[in-house]
Amino acid sequence: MASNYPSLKNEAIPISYEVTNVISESATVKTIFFKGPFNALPGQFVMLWLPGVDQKPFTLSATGANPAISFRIHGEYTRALAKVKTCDKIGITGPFGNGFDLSSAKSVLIVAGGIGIASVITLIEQAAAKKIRTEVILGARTKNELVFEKRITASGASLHLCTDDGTAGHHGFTTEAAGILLQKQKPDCIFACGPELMMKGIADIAAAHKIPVQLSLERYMKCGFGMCGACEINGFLVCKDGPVFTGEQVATMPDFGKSARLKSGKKISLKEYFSPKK
Amino acid sequence: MSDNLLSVNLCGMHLSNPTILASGVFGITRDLLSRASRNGAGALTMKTITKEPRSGHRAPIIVSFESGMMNAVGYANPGIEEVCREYADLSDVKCPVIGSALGETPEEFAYVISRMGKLPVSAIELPLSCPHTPGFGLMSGHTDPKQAAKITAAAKKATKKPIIIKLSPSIPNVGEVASAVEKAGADAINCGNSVGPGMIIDIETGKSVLGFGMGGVHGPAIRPLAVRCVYDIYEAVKIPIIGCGGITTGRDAIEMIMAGATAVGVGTATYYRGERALALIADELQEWMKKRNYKSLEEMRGIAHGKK
Repeated sequence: MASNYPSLKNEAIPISYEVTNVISESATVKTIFFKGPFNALPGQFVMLWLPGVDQKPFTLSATGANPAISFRIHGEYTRALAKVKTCDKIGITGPFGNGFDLSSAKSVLIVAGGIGIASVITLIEQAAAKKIRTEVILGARTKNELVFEKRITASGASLHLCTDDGTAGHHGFTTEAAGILLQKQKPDCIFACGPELMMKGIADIAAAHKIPVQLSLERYMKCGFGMCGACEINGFLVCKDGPVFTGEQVATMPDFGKSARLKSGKKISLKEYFSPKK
Repeated sequence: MSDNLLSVNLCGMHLSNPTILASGVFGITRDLLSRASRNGAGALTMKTITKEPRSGHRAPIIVSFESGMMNAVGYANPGIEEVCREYADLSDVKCPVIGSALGETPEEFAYVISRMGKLPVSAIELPLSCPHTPGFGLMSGHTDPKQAAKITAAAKKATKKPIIIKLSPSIPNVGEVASAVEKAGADAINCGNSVGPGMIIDIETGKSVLGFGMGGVHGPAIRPLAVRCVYDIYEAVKIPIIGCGGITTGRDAIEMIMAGATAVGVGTATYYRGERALALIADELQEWMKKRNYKSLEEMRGIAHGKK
């Protein structure tokens, strides 16, 4: 029996990477590049440790030789992250999670709302590079908050913009834009990342059109690898079973689009959960 | 799995096998308890609950090293009020559930226990041994024999359900503490918690990695320490012992039972072997017992003491 002792993996410890560049994508979105190589599947995430501050999950907005994470500045942690400079050290654990599955799709629709684009940008680039017909709906509150438009068009994907205030592209939500697009063409698969109510809307539209859908979920995450249970949603662990879930899976989650757990584990409404932090 | 070979009675709870999911690992919500129960555990321990909600320590809260892990979760929990709602119905959890209650004072312990006692839990465990949270456990003298006995007595008054006292292998006089809580009415001892606190420093930044700066050390690195503590406690008390600390394989469970454990707590092994770690350990335990012709766990319990 002793010979069967399992190997003791040691992957749950941050490794320091040197920051190579920091760029502003918009007034509120920044990208931090660090020294690669660092490989991960589109949709997989890392836990990013800022020594003395906290550790939070981020999907990589670039992988390979020049990997990066992109974030919107909106709380204490991201304000500290925004102060990171070239040559600083950041701690990275991972990659974790399942990632998106392009499998045999010949045509895809990728819907991104707000900073959700950071989680699907490498998926867009990979899909387009594989000559998969790639339609992208990119939404934001206003024109100045749209990011990665150049990367999307450079990849060869077709980009459809949409803003809540009509300052660019379709005047309205990404869900409406998706509804309009789906009347003209039917992709093999839909992918989405953005505010949960947007993803709920996309999941409903995909179900109505009988198109498979994959959604990247967000819950308060602490460990990132399935031990602490903080990111649980109806018995699923977002860090380990996800963060990408299928339409069939989210259909079994009563809390999807409704409620989420705080750091303490207390369940509250999504509206309360995503209300601006003081 | 043949039920009778591995089955064990712990404080009136019927366990189909002696593995118990340790508190704070994985099964921290009702739905996760249900999921863990489908993965072959003999029993499950709920996360530890305090009177008021706690957000816990900053991340990282769990990190690995070459021979184990460290954690400083800081007792994140939604508070007993919320827990009474979430855990009111545990009917889809297919094995006994042990509650875990915590307070700063004997009175606060009693308050949480009296509320928790009304939930469908089979026993309540009191961790008196956390090495990394101010106000609790090792950081507040809860494992002083007199204080531990006081808390135990208060707990016994607060519920009719069995009370399990969780001690720390960090305490040198662990047998003495075990004896004190037995006299105060404890129904079982769990030994034990993570040890320490310990610290891991990231040498590139020169900063301690855990958000709290230090944390409890657990996993294979502490197994010999936990085994010795269980051995000492078996000498000191008559009540059953849950041996916990670094158990990763069936062999480790056997060792703990030979030291005197009635059941074994498993936590870190889920990191190395996945969610079904407890079932794998139980399978390996059973396979070995069959090979050696053991007919029950009772036959090998405490044999390291040479009394049987």
